[in-house]
Amino acid sequence: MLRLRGRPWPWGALGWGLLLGLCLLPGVLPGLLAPLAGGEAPVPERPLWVLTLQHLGLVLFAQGLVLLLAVPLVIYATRPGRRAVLGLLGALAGLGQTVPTLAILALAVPLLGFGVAPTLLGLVLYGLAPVVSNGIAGLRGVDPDVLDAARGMGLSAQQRLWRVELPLALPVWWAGVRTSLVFGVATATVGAALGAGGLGSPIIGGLSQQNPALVLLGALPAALLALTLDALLAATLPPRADGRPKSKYIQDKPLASRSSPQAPSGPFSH
Amino acid sequence: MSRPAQPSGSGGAAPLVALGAALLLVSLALPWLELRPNRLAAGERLYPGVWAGVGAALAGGLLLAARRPRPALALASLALLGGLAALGQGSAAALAGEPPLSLARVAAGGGWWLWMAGAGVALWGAAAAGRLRDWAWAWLPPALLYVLLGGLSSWSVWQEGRAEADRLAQELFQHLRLTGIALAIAAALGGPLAVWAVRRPRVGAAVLAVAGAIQTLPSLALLGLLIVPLGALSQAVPALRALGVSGIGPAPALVALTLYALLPVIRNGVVALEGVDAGTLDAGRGMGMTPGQLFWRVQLPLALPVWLAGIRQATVLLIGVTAVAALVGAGGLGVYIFRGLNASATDLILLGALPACLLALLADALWRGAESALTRRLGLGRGAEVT
Repeated sequence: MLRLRGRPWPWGALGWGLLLGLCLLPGVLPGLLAPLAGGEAPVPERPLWVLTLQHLGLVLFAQGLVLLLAVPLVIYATRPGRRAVLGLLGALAGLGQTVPTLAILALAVPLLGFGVAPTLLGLVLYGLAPVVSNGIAGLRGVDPDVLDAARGMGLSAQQRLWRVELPLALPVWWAGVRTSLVFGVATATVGAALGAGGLGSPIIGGLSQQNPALVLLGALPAALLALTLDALLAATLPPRADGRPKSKYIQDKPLASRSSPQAPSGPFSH
Repeated sequence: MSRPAQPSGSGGAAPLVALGAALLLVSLALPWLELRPNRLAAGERLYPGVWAGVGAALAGGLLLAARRPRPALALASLALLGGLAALGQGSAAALAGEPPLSLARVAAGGGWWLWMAGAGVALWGAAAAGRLRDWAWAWLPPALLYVLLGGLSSWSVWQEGRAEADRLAQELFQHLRLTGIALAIAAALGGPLAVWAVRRPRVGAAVLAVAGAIQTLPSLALLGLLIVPLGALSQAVPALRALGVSGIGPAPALVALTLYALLPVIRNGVVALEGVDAGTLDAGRGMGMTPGQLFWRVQLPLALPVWLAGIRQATVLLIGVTAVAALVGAGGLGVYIFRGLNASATDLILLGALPACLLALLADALWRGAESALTRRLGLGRGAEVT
């Protein structure tokens, strides 16, 4: 198999991305779907590539806000002596993963009105949950012995954080970002019902006009966008610093007590 | 807001209780209720008024007790119950002055929601600091009693629900039915698939890859993608059409829900079956068990708690996706959410969203209870949890 700097070629990302690109070429997808609408090509209110960029932009912007909020929050909460804060954060993240997305989105409308704002709020609130819970799992999963060793080598708390904890926690944390981003594509699709635009709007429009071709015009690129992003993030998943194989489908769990002795070799090399 | 210095013993709880108290104080400056002339119009904002003194005293007490978990927990529970009573009694009092057949409604305002959030944060902080898990739910029975006795009957969402009582019960039932049927099909399909996946790792990788890809698809996109094939199927096969299968309605919803539930069911099944201690299986083999006995009497029972975690995740996921499925005409609580969005009626949105949230939380709690009961019965100690 072809390999790219020690990792397999991201065939998934390339394949799904290529399909998505094909769908976005002007006229291709409407032409293909025309037979479903009695020979008349469905017309979205804006070109598909604009809707896709709108969708992607919204999701990425929200993810940026999520990271900006989650990273300091998780680092703050995982420092020693903040058990209750950590517990609350974990519980809130669990709550966020339990409460239906649509409920969060819809309840944001009375507060913020229709448009992009409620979807953005929903994206940030809902996107925080996996990033926070995986961040906590990643940082708490760092082997205490490794931290002890780092302390013994005279590393300060800050050095330990940057050189030991964060590198070791990164794979698990990144898996959370992946989950959050892929869910974000889905949330933004539903957000079209609240006037957020994006690829959900042809779906919503097609459903209300009973035009299946228009529905597919939004649904196909939305599905391909999610698959592309998922494959792209899987391909960029950092390898575990301790050499344990990464697992693609079984969500990463911290394996603190079973951590292997060669774990610190990377971060300690300099 | 005054935040006490970092405590040493309470593990950082005092700041949380103080944060909760601060939220309570801020909420007193915001409108607690809104008296509207009808369902849609903006209305008159009602502030706590003299009751703000009581609220401030409660918040102050909480602030003083921030470092002592037991009194803090008691005060936070009181704040939560007080908030509930304030909504019930306040809305009743506000409506008392209206003529009998008026369309007036009393909605909860930002202040009320903030108060409840603050009380919740303080409650959590106090319970976590004092390891008072059992007492953290002490407010629930009186709160339930108050709600069941109709304490909130003047609240706008309650009124909306009363006007819709029959339909609401129907949609709730439809929500449960869609989720339940899809879950049952997914379990019936996913169970054998997981067993197969464990025995044939190559097949397992392929099955998990497909289920993972399906899970990636946005729910609305998947529902949309199913319209055309299911519509064509019902056109081609009259028997299916007679069963009510069509591109719109419960059929695409059930297919999409089942597909979504497959990943958690299969993934946790694989993890659970593979996680059974090899030594235990060897012991079973040594006792002369046949492969069938080994599977049914040893491997499956031991794997069940972790497998149930997958069913729990699937249930919670499906309750959320079912709400979206209202868009393709499948019914369920999402009907009220979308109706409320279309009519810009907050009460209708809440009428759909609140039960959906409670349903998801309840399902989560029930399955968790089943998991720990099963784990205890099997004598496994604390079950390994796959999230």
